[in-house]
Amino acid sequence: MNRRALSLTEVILALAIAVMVMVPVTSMFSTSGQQVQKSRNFSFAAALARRISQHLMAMPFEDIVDLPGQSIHDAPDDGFFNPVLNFANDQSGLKRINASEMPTLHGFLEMNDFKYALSVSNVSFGAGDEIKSIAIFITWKETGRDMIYRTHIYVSSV
Amino acid sequence: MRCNPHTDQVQYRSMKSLMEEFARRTQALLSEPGILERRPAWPVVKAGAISLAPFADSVVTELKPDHALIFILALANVGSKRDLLLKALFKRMLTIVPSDDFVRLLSKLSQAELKDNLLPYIYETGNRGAIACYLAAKLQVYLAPEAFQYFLNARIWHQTDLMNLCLLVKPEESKALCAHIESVIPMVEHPHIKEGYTEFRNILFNHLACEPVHPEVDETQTEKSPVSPAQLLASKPTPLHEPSTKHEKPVDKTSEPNKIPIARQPEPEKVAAKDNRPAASDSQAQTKASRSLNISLQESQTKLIIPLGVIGLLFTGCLFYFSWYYSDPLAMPNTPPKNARAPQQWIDSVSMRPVTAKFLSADKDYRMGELFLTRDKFAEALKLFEDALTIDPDHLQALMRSGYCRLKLGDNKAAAEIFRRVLKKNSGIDSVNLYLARISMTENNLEAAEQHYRAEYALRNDLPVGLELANFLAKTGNQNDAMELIAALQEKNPGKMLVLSTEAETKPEQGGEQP
Repeated sequence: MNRRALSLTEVILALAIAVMVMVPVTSMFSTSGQQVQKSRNFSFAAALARRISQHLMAMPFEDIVDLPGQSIHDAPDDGFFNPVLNFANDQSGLKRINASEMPTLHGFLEMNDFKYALSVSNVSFGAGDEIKSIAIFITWKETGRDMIYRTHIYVSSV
Repeated sequence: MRCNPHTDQVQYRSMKSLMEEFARRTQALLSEPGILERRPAWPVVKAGAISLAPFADSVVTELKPDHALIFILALANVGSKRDLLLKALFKRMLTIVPSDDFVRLLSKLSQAELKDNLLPYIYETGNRGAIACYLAAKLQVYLAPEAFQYFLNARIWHQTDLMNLCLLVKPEESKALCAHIESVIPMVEHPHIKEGYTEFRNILFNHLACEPVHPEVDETQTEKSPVSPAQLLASKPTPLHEPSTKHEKPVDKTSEPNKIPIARQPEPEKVAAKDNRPAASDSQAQTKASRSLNISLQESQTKLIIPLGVIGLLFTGCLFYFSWYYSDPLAMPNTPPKNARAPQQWIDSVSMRPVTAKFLSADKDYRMGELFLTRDKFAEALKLFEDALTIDPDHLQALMRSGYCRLKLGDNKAAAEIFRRVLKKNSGIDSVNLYLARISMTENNLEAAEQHYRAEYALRNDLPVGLELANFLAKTGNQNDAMELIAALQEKNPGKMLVLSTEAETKPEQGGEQP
């Protein structure tokens, strides 16, 4: 009967094979996982900036002012964007972005520390002719880096 | 001959008391250490066995198996009487897996006795065959190679039994037997028998059988446990050669085990019919896969346990790590500190270039300057662009716009200098070469103007720049080049009628259109 024990060489060989198999698998997990995260964050930032720009187009001209970096989750209701147009008295059935009403989205925003900010430049040409250049910034944290998405819109008083 | 009931009753009581006494002595014998025949209680047991000799058949069938075996060992030396008793004992006790004590006692029997009295039961299906095979393997009984073919033909084999059967092959004969079995397999017609052959050969060839495997016992076939001496007193005597239980088949001379090897070779069909094969094959099919897997694992785990364990640990560790690292972030709140300072630099998610706070501040002025440009307020715009450049001298678009404003304000020299700085920083920006060409035209530097026009056309390759270059070439006397360029542009824009401008038309405006 063949009942010999395992030699050190066999054990090392098995380990080497295991490592050779695991390294590409883990790197594959790593790359694809990071890409999914980046894509998800970028899509959310772009969608949020677009939604804010739509709101700016619709809101009163004089109400468009600078806004420092504001967390999207758990921020006080500033009657402006937070919580992304879901006002407390909204009749559309939308909910506020907090842990109790929208836990999934709240967790996502909290995890990545999504913030938005507005930088408004107002130019008056006289006779009521004014234009506001508004820079919309969406910032978030991604794999240890601070990311930013920028877009600009121009709103005329006329 | 007429029986006397009173005499039977007396004999019966006498036998019971003797058996009870013998059981007690045997129990004492078994509790003593040392070689069986040298234990202090052995002579007493032997004397008790002799006194029970007239009731030998009853003793063998009614005492506990190990007590009965000691009775046989103590009573008779090797011979036909002992063989008969052993056969009766095996027939009775092979329905349940014997204890290790009983197996140790069996080792007192010679190989010849085991072959003659135990091995014939291997032919039987059910528990007897399986347990007989197991006992033979336990007792290291080796058979002649030709015997295995008879066994394999006799019945349908469970894999555990085949494993035990393989242990009856002498190691030095296994290769030859494998070769012999291989040659026999094609000639076996019955599929189930053939399967047994193949499996037996595989187990033997791969040395899968290392130790006797505990047989699978059908509980429905097991007998009741032996009756205790106290119970015996309350029961009726069992006649010699009668079955100990009612459901057991009566001993039949034709079915009694024969010597090994036996020239009896039951036909597979008969075996199948005898064993009620459809039911048996169904249960075999259901359990075959699991049994096969279990046995393979048992045999291979000693070889593979370390590398498999290490690989398993590594794999599990990696899985845990990656499932943690890439798990849904929503499920693991990781709140950043509330009072964290604003970063001084971000990574632009579109261009993946760093964006500083200084750049953003300069960009704000630049955007305001752009607004003034929409109303052609170049002086105001220039101030804002220069403010932007004060904050961030590397703001290339603000630099270019400041040059444009200076060009529009008539400061060609400063504008040209700014545009050259822009080109030095990035030669791929649109319109810079065009402005420089126009400035060179106004300064009557035709060579520089042509160079900048051509650079701009090479960069943009569009119709307005092409037309301006063609007009410039025509004006400077390069009619052929101008016509050639017009033809090329006409080919690219077939829907338009392209002609060279008159001299009045070709006079470049101050600064041209806004890029």
